Amino acid sequence: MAVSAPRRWREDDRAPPEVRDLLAAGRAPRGMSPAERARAARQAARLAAAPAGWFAWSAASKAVAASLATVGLVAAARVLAPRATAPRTVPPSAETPRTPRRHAPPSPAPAPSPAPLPRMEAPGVPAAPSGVSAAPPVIRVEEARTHAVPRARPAPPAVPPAGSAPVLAPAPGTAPAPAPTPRDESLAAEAALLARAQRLLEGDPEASLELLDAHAGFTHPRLAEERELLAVLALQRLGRGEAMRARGEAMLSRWPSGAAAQRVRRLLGATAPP
Amino acid sequence: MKARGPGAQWGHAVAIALHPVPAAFVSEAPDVGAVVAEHGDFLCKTLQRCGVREADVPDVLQEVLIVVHRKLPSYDAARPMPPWLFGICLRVATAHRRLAWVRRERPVEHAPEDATRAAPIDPEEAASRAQARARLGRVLDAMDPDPRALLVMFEIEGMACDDIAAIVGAPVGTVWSRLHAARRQFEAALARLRARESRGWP
Repeated sequence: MAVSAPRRWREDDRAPPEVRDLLAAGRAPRGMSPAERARAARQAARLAAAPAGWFAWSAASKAVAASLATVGLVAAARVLAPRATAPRTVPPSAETPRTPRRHAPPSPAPAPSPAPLPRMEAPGVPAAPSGVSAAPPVIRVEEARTHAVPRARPAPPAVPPAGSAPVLAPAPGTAPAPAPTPRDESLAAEAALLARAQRLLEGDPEASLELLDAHAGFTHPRLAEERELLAVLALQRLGRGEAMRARGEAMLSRWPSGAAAQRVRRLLGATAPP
Repeated sequence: MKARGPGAQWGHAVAIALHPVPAAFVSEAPDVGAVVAEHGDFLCKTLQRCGVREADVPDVLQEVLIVVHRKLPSYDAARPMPPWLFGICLRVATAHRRLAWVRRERPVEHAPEDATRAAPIDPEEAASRAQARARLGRVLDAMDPDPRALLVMFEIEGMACDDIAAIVGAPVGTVWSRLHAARRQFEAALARLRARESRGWP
């Protein structure tokens, strides 16, 4: 190998001196600092526990759909009793008539946008790290939560109760919808909320924005970056260019890197004023 | 596992929700934590070799880990991991460098981290060294990530071609020819830099 292997410039007298000087000034890349190692290990643990990053949204929304189906009653309610359940929740649906539009089938009765938050006050098993999963059919909320399936699927528990609760358990969150005090702050709830907002993005961006605002009320949101991305997309679809730019730039200053930031940057670049 | 694909219908999804995946199936693939523990240093260095600035490494590394996590199930455990990781780092770093704000940013003459490094003995020499380093940075930044990484490994880190071949996942002969190409790119970039400097451009 020594025969035809290239000689290093730095050791080669025929190499231009300027090049040798430049290369001599070069510094070998550094390794991983302990802080970075710790951070990376934390991230790895998060990734292993909950595949609910931005890239897993489609999977997350599928999981939501899956657990809705699991409850089983939802389907029945969709076919048989959309009308029967509706009257029970008249006040909330009257307050926020937007969101049910597209979601009436999957979550028949309670769909008004602030509703999912307060209803998840049930004895929140922290869904995020432990990976509590889909509720078995036909059980009321409290019991459903105890049936943990050892799978890393954060989204399900948040929504199935939302769909099933009003029908099965007599008024689990009897409090009318807009009392958001005891709110489920689990990652699952966040993911479910954002998944709904994402689904509304195309059809009804304004409703999507409302949901995102609801998410902004979380005290320790873990998916804030994703929320901002969705908000920017929603504003874009609404044609509110300036608001979109402002929000996008605020997001970029807070999360300057990452996949969401990339997308926003592309978006802002595409619509940049000349 | 096939039911998890993007095309999974509700029926599949229900099956997933009701039947936990067998433990053996899950533990088969290595997990990101193990990759970080074993190859963390390598990932950091490779990103820098590909042109990611030191200060940006933690953020870009985050993206790399996401990709690794997503692709681990398709990783063939019989093959060495470094080339696989190298390919991921290369792609992520390339995408990162394409970002408008990274491109627009001028390379920093004195990286803030310099203060924490070994104190320079002679300030004058240190200054000229820093200047040379800044020039080198500009030349390297003008190169494509792939040849750049090779050149850095060979010319700056002084690695053996065999080791480089093991990282890149190519035969040594290929490494040689790619090194030659990388040198030509380096020289061309240096010539452009000189031309700019002679005209007084930044």
